[in-house]
Amino acid sequence: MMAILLNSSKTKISNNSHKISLLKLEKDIEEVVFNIDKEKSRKLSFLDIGYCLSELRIFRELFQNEKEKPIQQKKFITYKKEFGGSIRISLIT
Amino acid sequence: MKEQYKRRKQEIDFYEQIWLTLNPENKDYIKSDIFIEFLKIIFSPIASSIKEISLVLKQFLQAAFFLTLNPEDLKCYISPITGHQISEEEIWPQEKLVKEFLNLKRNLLAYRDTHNYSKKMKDDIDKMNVRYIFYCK
Repeated sequence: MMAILLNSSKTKISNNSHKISLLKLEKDIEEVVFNIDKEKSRKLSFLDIGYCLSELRIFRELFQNEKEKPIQQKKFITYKKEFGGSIRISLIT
Repeated sequence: MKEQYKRRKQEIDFYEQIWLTLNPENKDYIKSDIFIEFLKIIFSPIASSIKEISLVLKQFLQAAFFLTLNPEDLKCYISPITGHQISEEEIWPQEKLVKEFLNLKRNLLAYRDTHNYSKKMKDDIDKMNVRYIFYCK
């Protein structure tokens, strides 16, 4: 869908790694939404939208459970150990 | 604490606006397909500017509501948070929605684990003092 829309816009997907990156991104997004919509009703309420945005780390204040924070911190430390001093860029950081 | 409050307010504003944008018919639910496609566009790592993302977004929303919405109908926006009616002028244009989204995301670079910063990007990061977001100490 995104690729079709962008084909008609200025930016073109010119390179394979970009295409792979785009597919990965789309898969991540679908996964988050499908996890929230467990009953597969294909409908999302206002709160569901909030949970999705929180899962995607757009919301860092809303929908954050205090108990989850140490787990996120632990994940970050593990990540640091794995990748050392490398640049840390992710959609879902 | 002030920063947290500011961030929370930004998130609430964005939350309300994204819901109103995706739910012009003021229903209790929206279709997940529309939300997924909306996210794919707004997260797009390949569109090069806010203008371009918002243009694509506009086209998508027009197509998504083409069959269900009558453009001549007066839209009635109700805030899902306060329950108050919101006038159409208070609804953010797509450009602002995308801009606020990018502010919340604060992810200037498109691809994961990339090492090939452009000079312009390095300068932008330095200017914004957000290096800590991209580098592990």
